[in-house]
Amino acid sequence: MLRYFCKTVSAHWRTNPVLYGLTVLGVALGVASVISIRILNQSAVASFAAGVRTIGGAADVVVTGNGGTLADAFYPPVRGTPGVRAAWPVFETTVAVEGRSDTFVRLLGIDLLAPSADFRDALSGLPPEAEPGVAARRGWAAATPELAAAMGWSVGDRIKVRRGENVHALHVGALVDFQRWGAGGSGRAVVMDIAQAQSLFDGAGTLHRIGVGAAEGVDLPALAARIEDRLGGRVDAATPAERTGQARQLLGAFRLNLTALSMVSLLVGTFLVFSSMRACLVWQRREFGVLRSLGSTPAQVLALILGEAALLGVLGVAVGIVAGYWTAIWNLDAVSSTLTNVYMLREIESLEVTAGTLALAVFAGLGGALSGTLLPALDVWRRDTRTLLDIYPVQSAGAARARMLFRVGLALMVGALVWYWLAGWRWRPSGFVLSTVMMLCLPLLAPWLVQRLTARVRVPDFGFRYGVRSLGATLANTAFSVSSLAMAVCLLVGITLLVGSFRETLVRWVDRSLRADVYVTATVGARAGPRATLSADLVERLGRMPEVRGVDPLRRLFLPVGGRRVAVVAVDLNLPAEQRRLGLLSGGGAVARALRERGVLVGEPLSHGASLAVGGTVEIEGPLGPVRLPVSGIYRDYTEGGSVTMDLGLMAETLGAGRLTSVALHLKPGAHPEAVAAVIESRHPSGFLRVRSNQHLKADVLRVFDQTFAVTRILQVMSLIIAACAITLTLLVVAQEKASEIALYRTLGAYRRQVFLLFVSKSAAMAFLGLAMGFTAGTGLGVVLIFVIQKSYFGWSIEWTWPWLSLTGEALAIVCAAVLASLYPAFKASRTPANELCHADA
Amino acid sequence: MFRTTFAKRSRKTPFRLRRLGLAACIAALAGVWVGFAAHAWTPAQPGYKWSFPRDHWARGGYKTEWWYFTGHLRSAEEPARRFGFQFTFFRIGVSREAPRSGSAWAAGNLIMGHAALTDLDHGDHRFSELVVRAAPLLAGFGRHPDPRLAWSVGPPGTSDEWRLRWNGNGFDFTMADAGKGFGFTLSTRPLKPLVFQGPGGLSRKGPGASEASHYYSFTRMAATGTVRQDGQEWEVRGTSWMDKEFGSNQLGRDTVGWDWFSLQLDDGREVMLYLLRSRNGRVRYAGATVVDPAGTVRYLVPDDWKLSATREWTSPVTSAAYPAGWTLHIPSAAIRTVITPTLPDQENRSTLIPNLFYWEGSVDVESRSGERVGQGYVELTGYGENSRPPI
Repeated sequence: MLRYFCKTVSAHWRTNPVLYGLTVLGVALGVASVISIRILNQSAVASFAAGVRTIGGAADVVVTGNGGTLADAFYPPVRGTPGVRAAWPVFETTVAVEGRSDTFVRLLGIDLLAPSADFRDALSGLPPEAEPGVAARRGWAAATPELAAAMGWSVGDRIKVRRGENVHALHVGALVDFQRWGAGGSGRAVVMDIAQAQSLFDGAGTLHRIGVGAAEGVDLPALAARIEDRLGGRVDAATPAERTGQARQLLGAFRLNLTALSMVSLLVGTFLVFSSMRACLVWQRREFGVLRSLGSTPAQVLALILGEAALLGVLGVAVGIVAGYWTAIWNLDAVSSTLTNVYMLREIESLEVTAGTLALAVFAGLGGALSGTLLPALDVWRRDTRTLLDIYPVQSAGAARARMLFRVGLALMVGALVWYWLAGWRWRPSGFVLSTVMMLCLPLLAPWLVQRLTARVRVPDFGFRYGVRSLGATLANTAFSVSSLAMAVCLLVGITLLVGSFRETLVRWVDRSLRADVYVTATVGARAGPRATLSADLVERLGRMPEVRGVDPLRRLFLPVGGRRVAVVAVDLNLPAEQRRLGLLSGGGAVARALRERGVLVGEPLSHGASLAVGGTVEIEGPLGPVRLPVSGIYRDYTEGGSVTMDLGLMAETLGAGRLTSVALHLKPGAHPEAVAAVIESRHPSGFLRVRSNQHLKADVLRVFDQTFAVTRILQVMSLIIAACAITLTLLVVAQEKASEIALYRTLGAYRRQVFLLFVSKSAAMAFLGLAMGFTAGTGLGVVLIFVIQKSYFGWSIEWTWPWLSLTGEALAIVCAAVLASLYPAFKASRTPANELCHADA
Repeated sequence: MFRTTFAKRSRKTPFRLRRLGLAACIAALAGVWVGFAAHAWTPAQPGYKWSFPRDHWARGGYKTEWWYFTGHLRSAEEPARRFGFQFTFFRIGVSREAPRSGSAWAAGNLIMGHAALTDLDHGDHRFSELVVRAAPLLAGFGRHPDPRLAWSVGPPGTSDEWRLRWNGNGFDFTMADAGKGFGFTLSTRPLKPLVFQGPGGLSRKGPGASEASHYYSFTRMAATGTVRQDGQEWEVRGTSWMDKEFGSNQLGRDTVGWDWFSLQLDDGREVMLYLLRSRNGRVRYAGATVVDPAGTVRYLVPDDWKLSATREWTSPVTSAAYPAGWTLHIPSAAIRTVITPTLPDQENRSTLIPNLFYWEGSVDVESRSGERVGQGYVELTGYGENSRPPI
């Protein structure tokens, strides 16, 4: 039997390479779509998790300040906390490399004079010829070899870096592989002594974190709690696991997108695998009849079928893993850019393919292949030899089964909706349950719908309508194709509706929020949050420009509010209403109320997530201690995690004075924003300022938005390919199964062209049916995504929009893909010789 | 049998180099990239004008400086617990000029602390260390007349500071290490006058012009205070020896280690002797001092004394083989003694500095007939395959 198995497998490949190739491709695509997104997802989190490990190696506890920074004075008590083995102060900032306006580098200030065991390996990387004492010299810095290679630096080079308005000359004193020393060390960083870093980069008195190494046997959460207690709760001490958890929370929306896509891709991918294997099996049905007639037992045939399925599954998994990895690489830039631009985090430096990912690939590929084969294989196992050899496959049970499946699908969908309406809405992930049920119902609903819809088609001749009607006759095959297509379309439409509606909402929000003509921020500001600031002198100079009518200053801090870290923004609330940045949800009197009550305005996501309502109180963990302020209003906000806005004066009073983060300029009538922006840039040619006109900034916002959702394209493209594969497979099987029938047509005088068109029409019909079903389900999916999932997870109010242009384009692409997918099977069917009829009859 | 052979040398001022070498060794070995530009630092030279008590405080301009205390303590209650201790603060210059940075981390010096407590009755030796930058946040050196001579945050995990103060007559110092489970707070009072180690307090340690340091000692001080170990505390009293030394670039390149002895004899005399070993194992430089009960100092040359190692002890941790028993004969002082470690394992092993380990411990001083004639402390550095060379 084993010999036969080996021979038959190779024979199958030789006789029908396209079908087998497509089957393997189907498995591979399914696997690839699942793991590519999972790889990106895990790599994004791993990248952040690596970032949270301090430069002092893998710290056991990381201490951060409530206001984003820690006072130097916190270091001794942290170091002196019982159970601490070592404590490493870290000052961190981001600097732009002079002459390369788009290149940013992490600059870390650490205590290079502390001979901690955790540092010595790194410092031993200093070249022996380096003069002792260099580390303490002004401007001395060690670069990572990776960064040096990327920048073309070598030891001894003098480089210039910029932070805000200031340029500093650094001396590359050594190349030190901090990654080798500590797994969490960044591959692209410049390290210098903390005293110099603080002094050069306006950081005197502040640290960004303290890495703590615990003594052996110390309970880490208990140590973290002791540190917090010792500092009177003015710091946040977290273990790496907790920090990674915070990272996951920070990346919530992004990861949710990826996770949701990953799950959907798992569903669609597994379905394609299932479909592919089933199609392949149908093609071999008569061969099994021959085997049975030659004396093979049903169990032997079953083993043969499952063995071949497993082999195809293994091949598909192998190809899929490679394809998935490359897909992840191709999309790395988009994801990485989102991480750095939107979340201000380090970019993904390496892709992680974990054992779990590989296991998932095997599960989806091999499991899908075997499960796709099992039911038809059992069917073959049960049938007698005569039935298997019958040239006209029995479809009689199809109608009754289709009805039954339809009822199950309908019941499932109605049940899910009722469950959600009664109780599910209280459960946050209920939206995902609804989406999954909706997707799962499609294959259940498809057979009966295909049967009913095609049965109504009148057939005047041997043409298009005949092709459509005949779909119902091969329900077992066509329903799978239509289901695959419908699932792909559902996914496509759901995502398109979400992205389109979100984008349109964002456009309106941006129009409402960006009222000024020109916006000025420090270059590093876009990368380092509040750390890059504008000097008062610069702001004054900008305000004195002859074209400027008014200045709208903004100061931003990132502080804990209600257990989450949010942007606390201060603006001049006394500005005229037409110049205000906020789109209020709680009425126009909110700003006046905030000024009167000395209150704050809260962004919608924070209001939703922290249950903050007008009349309530918000507690902000400020650098000077906790501050409780009344909530005077709620405004539209589409930032991650939400924000709180208050008047500049109130922020200075309650959270301490500080420099502005950006300013918005209102120009006098007649002044051209682009021209003014150009003038400001020309006066600061070194590029430390980012000056953008209103239009430019809006375009940037939308570009970042598009970039964030760029990763969804992976799944959309995969869906299209999967759908096309499903159609091709189905038509190939139909061409095989119906060989005798086609031969009969040919004998009765049908032209090859007519047979060709018959298959193309079948494909087009399947495309239309899939589109119709998918569009309906996709609209439902869009509703769930927009009104259930986004709302419950992020508190964003998204206004429903029909992105007709995108939807139409996608529909056309699907029909084209379906027609293209039918060409080869149609060509193959049209070549069916008339003597196939005699052969079959014999 | 281990035997130390002395090379014949000309009569020169004896010096005590152990702390200097140790400090420099630790600083360099630690990868502490401090400024060693010798020309920038003031070398120890003849003619230094001493001024006390001002010179008990840190002397800027010199690269290295230390305050070194060793001694023996006994608890008041019976049965008495006996302890040996070591307490040291090193100042290691990073830059000669005061830092101009606005950062609180800017430091012109590093401060390094070493402390050890030996429970002589229970055979337990514990060592603690710290190295931090002398920035106001963490550590510092006082200026006369501020009674603080030096202070530092404790080792990680310890909330108590390490401090050294001038109490107007002697020195008060305190240390603790929560992780190692010990600490002590002691107050000392000189029982004999201050002694210069070398004429004019200039201690030569090699033939080179810069191979010298400024060096003085209190060879016998009364010590009282408390010792803490594993949650227990004892009121103690005993005797201590104190050294203060400062200079720049003192050690010759060929020096790999040294043996140093400070012996307090029961007849009221003290003996300090040292030998400096070169790479080939020979003694590169050596010297000795005998202080009589009245405090009069006599400097000896190597021909005046003979030290022979009689035993060897190998560290189970570092595998370094140290001499662990000696006979000392100083004919001119009628001293013929046997020196024996009170505990074999008194090796100080740094966890901060790679391959830094040395033996520093309490010793009994006995006559040839086995009668106790004194006690002391011995320091042995540069032993062991992996022991890093000084500077």
